[in-house]
Amino acid sequence: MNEITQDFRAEQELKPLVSWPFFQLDYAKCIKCMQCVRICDEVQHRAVYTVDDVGYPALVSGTSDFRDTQCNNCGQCVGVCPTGALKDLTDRGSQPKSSRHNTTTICGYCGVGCAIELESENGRVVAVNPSHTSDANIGNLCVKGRFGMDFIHHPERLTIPLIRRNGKDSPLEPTSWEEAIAFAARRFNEVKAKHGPHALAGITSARATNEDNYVFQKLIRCAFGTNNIDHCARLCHMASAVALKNAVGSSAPSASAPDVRLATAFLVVGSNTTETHPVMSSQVFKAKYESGAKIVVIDPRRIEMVDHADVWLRPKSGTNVAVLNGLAHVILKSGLANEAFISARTENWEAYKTNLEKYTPAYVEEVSGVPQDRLIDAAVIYAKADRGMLLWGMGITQHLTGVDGALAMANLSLLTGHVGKPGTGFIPLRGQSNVQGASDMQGQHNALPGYHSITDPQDRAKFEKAWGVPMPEDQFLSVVQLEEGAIRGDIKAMYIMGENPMGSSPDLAEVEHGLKALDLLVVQDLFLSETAALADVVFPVASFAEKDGTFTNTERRVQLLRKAVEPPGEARADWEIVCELSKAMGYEMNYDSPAAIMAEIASLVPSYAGMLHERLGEGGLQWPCLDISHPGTRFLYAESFPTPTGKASFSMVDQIDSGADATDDKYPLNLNTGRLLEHYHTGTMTRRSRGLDHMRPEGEVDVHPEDARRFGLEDGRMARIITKRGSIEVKVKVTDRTPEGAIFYPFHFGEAPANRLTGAKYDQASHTPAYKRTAARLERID
Amino acid sequence: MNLTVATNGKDSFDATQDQNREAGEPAAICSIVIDGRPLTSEADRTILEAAKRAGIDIPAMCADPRIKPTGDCDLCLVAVEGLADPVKACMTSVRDGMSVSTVTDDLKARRKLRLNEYLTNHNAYCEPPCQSACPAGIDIAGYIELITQKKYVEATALIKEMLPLPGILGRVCPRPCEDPCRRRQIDGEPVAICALKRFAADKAVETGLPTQLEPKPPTGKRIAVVGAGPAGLSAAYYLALEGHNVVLLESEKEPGGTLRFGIPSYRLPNSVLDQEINDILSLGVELRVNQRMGTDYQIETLREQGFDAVFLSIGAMIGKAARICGENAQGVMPAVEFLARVNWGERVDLGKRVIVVGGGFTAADAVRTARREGASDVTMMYRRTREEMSAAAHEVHECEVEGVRFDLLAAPVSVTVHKGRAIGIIAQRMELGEPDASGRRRPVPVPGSEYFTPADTILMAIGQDVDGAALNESHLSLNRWGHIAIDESTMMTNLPGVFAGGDCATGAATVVEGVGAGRQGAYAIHAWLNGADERGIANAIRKRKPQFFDIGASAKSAAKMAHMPVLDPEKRVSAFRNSGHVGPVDNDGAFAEVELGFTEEVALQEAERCLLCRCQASGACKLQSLSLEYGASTTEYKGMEAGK
Repeated sequence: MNEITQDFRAEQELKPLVSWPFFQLDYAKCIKCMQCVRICDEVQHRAVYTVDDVGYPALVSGTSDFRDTQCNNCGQCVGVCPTGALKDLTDRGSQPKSSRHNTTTICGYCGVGCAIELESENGRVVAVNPSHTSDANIGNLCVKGRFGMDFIHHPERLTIPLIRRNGKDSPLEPTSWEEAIAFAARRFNEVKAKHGPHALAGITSARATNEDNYVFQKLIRCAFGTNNIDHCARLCHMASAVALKNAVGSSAPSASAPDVRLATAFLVVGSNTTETHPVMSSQVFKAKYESGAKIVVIDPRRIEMVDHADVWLRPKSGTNVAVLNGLAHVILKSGLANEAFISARTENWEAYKTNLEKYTPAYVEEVSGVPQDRLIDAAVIYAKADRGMLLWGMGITQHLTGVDGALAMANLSLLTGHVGKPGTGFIPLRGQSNVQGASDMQGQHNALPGYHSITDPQDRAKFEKAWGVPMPEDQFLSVVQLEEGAIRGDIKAMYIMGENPMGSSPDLAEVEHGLKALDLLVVQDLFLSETAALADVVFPVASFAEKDGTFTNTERRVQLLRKAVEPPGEARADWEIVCELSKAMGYEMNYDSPAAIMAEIASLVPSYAGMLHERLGEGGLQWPCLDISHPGTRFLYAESFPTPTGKASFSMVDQIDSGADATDDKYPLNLNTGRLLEHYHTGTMTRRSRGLDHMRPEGEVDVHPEDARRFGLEDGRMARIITKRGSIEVKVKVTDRTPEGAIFYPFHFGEAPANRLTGAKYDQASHTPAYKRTAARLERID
Repeated sequence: MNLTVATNGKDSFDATQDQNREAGEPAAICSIVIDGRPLTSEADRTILEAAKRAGIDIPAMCADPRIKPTGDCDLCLVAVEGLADPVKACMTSVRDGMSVSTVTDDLKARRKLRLNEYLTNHNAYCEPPCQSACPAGIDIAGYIELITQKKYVEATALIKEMLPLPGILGRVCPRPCEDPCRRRQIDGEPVAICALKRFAADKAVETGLPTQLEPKPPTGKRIAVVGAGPAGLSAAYYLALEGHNVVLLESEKEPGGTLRFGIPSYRLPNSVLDQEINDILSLGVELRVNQRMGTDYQIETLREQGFDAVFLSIGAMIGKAARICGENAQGVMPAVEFLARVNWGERVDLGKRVIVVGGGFTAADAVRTARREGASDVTMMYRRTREEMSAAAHEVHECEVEGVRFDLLAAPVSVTVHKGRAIGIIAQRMELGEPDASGRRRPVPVPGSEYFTPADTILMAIGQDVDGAALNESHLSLNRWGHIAIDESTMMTNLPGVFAGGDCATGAATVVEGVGAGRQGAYAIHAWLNGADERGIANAIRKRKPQFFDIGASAKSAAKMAHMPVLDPEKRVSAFRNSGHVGPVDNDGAFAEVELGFTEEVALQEAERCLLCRCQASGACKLQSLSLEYGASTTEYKGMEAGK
């Protein structure tokens, strides 16, 4: 080095590249291996890094702040740095990495199910590394998984049971476990004695483990004696589940992450994959940039995936079915339908074919605003591909016609034969770590574990024998119906595990009304959530890092959670609390570990029959896994469909303008709600993560520049969003990400909750609420 | 459920090639040899992947299966039979019949060269310089960071992973760690590492919470540790934690060795000593006092008693002779003897005028103790200057505060004796010449400069020897200085199962070196008991660290080191007894602890000064592990010539 570069280096040493508060690049330790630059470019595909004239990593912005670039703090660069030049600033450890304790477990956030390593010391999780053990993430992580785990040791964690001893007006006071359990059990039994078992209900969580969910539904059916149980999958993908059950005989996603990496064409519909499932998104990019796969995005918002798409269709909200039928129409008319597959593997073809006639590109353009040539391009890309893959999200399901949308997706897969082969199929992307498992464990539409029918005498007999009590016979009620039941007074007592309806359910004013009207509300949670604050008894629980168990991810992959640290204070694992309560209510449940619960599940649910904890460590197993030597199943339907005839069925679905909550003069805008990269669900965890909340401390409403002008709004100023249900005050972000006439607002922010605005209308077949369409208007606040 | 099953292609190592297999397109198989092992591999794999799958690790800095290989790191070079030059394993596909060597002398040399080059660009410490300098290897940055978080119990527990006597060392350690502290490059003064250690330990004691682990399950092995000084206590502690049954044999009536009768209680209160020794004994260590080796038992006796191994840590407690005329006269005694008598509670009247010969810790302890025993005119006679004294600077300062006179550049020539009793010393002026082996400038006598200084007592503090009487062993090898001869890499003596460490093996050294040696001895014995050979033992106790240039410090704002609050000198000196006083010296007054310890506020401020030089990635860093493996270092790199 000559003097000039010496001086330059000296200057650089003083100025590391910083992505506050997540990581920094310290030049003193950099050996110019360029791993950071390349993983960002080759895996994340973001314009962040470049190389400076002396060969060091630099930022494309020319500054030293990552915020000036497209960096979204995934920290993949930190993970590959071989020298520690990229330093994790969220690392709270005191000991060098080599002397810390490492626990391989599964991330508790979205449904991708990334394997992670928790580094702990002195009983605290101090850092997170990706684990290379699972095919779900192959060593990749996003910002939440890598830097968002500090909620585990947040000072607001509940550490001791709380109880209202003297009615609703008395304060929540700390108590012993003995008193809390006895109190809850006595009061549940009182309500049951007075009003019958069907006045009791339970809501469980897609963020709790399979084992937690299994014992919870068992408690509801055996100790409560009712079928009044549901969980939050109702609010997201139940429409997909119902549709797929009808179309192909099973509600499950057919393909896997390895298939995503193999696919050569993607239809990404109503899924902001890059933000909501970042690691899945990077696998789509891998297929595109390493193997030349084509991407079609169908979304009214200009999401990040649009920048990587070959074709982007931007339909008007609520016209999914028209667009999807239009694609089918084009495929059929271009002679690209897979005749061999259709005749061998499907039913109801002729009727379906006839029904497609009217969905000409011209008609579709008229209904949805999607230009005809683009529609044709998109159809050809998907139909002509060797391996076509469908990915969809809430943009399909959270409509009044959510099931129709999902059926139209399934039709496309059957029409082209893109299912049952490597690199093909469909994945409705699950939003939470264990949506799939929660559904598998306690069913949907009144199903017993493993989708056994509650009305089928044989299935009932099987479970009555296993559990030793008669199965309840009441009609199933969904989350929204249970909440309505509470308002009406049909439901008198509710047990909510790890769920926050006071943030996630539609029309919060009504939800609050209902929960307050209950005789007894028992909530178990990590924090005193908006829902827990209304409870009569609150049980403190262990977080995902503090317990053993399993999550089933969006590819049906059952993976093992391992306890890294002890829960705070007296907090206990969900399953332990549920079993204690059940015993106190008079129904014995004794398990010495989650592994024992899984063994019982395996004995009752055939697709989980080979799922024993000792087999699930390295990368897990994908169901169906039929016995203890079964290798699991990467993709479904290779030879037949699980229907009585073994064939899948085309469904005739039509574009219907439901009319409900349509915009009018008073409420001229369509409010769309959804998620952001940095936050998760109602924010109980991510809002308590220092880094994540630093990135997104408040919700902003996306407003198109034209609408901003129309309503006199300015970027960064406050505005009021008003709907028929309520209003909230939020900051305005003027952006063309959202189309004109539509606004977008995320639902993570308890101080200004999106669901104060939404209505409790839902799709009739699945009861999934129409969160994506609420008529609204904006008012400037001065 | 009636679902058709496709085989799960579960595989964590994801490369593009695997996609073909996942898509059901198998590749051709070829036979190769890597490092003499015949293997088969799909033809579309690189040598690096094929080797990894066979469990052969080829070093690489830039190979991540998610990123396309570029070969930039130049480390994955391998030799392929038939090719003159090595190839990059990450960029070269396997071929049928290929024979690959991953480790050859040529490759090792190339890799080392490349790593040296990397290291010159990598201006960082893996381990903070303080930790490298600490003979016990304490994770100093770690405990200081815990102090900043007010986690004093955890901080103390972290210290005790390497050093079982934090409260004691926090008071008496000569602080080799503070010398290289990078904080000095910013504001001239190191972080008060030692004082913070004391602070954490004292705070942890206040809480009453445990700071040490539970011992592992019993191994059934019995080990005798001979000598309950710093090395012996430390060895007993770590052996007990490993589940061994330890018997600690002590020749005196109480344990502690030099800690108890060498170091005066105004520096180390007995309460602190007792507390930490009791913590060690609480692990199930059996203490037997008044057991003098060579008198009450010998090594052979211990074997007969069924001990599986022996650790000798008998220290070096006999004051060296000055070999000058008159040193056997009445009124001349070794300083260690004087200190021992005082520490055992004896009142020793030295008269008014005392000369202590020497400039080390013992000399400093002797002059200050002499003042406390009533000598009004105390002189420390040293043949070099104050800078060369091996006593810590702050202690020399305290000597001065307590009214000790220094006679520097002076060496004793003879003791003047009158009627069998010493009445003074004839000394010679010295001047400093060339540096000697210890790096200090050698004192050279100035001819004709002899002078006389009167004295009632002369204390010799010029070094200590191992007690020859204790080593009355016929088979144990000693070296030419009379120390127990050991192999430093294994701590083994010439007798099987007999290990030694501390002053008795190295000659008189510091407490922290003794404690470090005790821990090493414990792990050497543990490895030996588990069947390790000499190499295995050496590996078990070797401390590996890369050699790096100094990197300079750039940091936060300057802040001066916190100063240890001390007992008011006026109060101290007024409590000193006059000569002729009979009966014990008042313990609460004259021998009260001088250093008072930091307040929490000061400690927290001081802890904030730490630059936390260590690297988060240490232990997980590829550059570190490969540099250690290939012996790379920055100090070896020649670099480019100027002007090129």
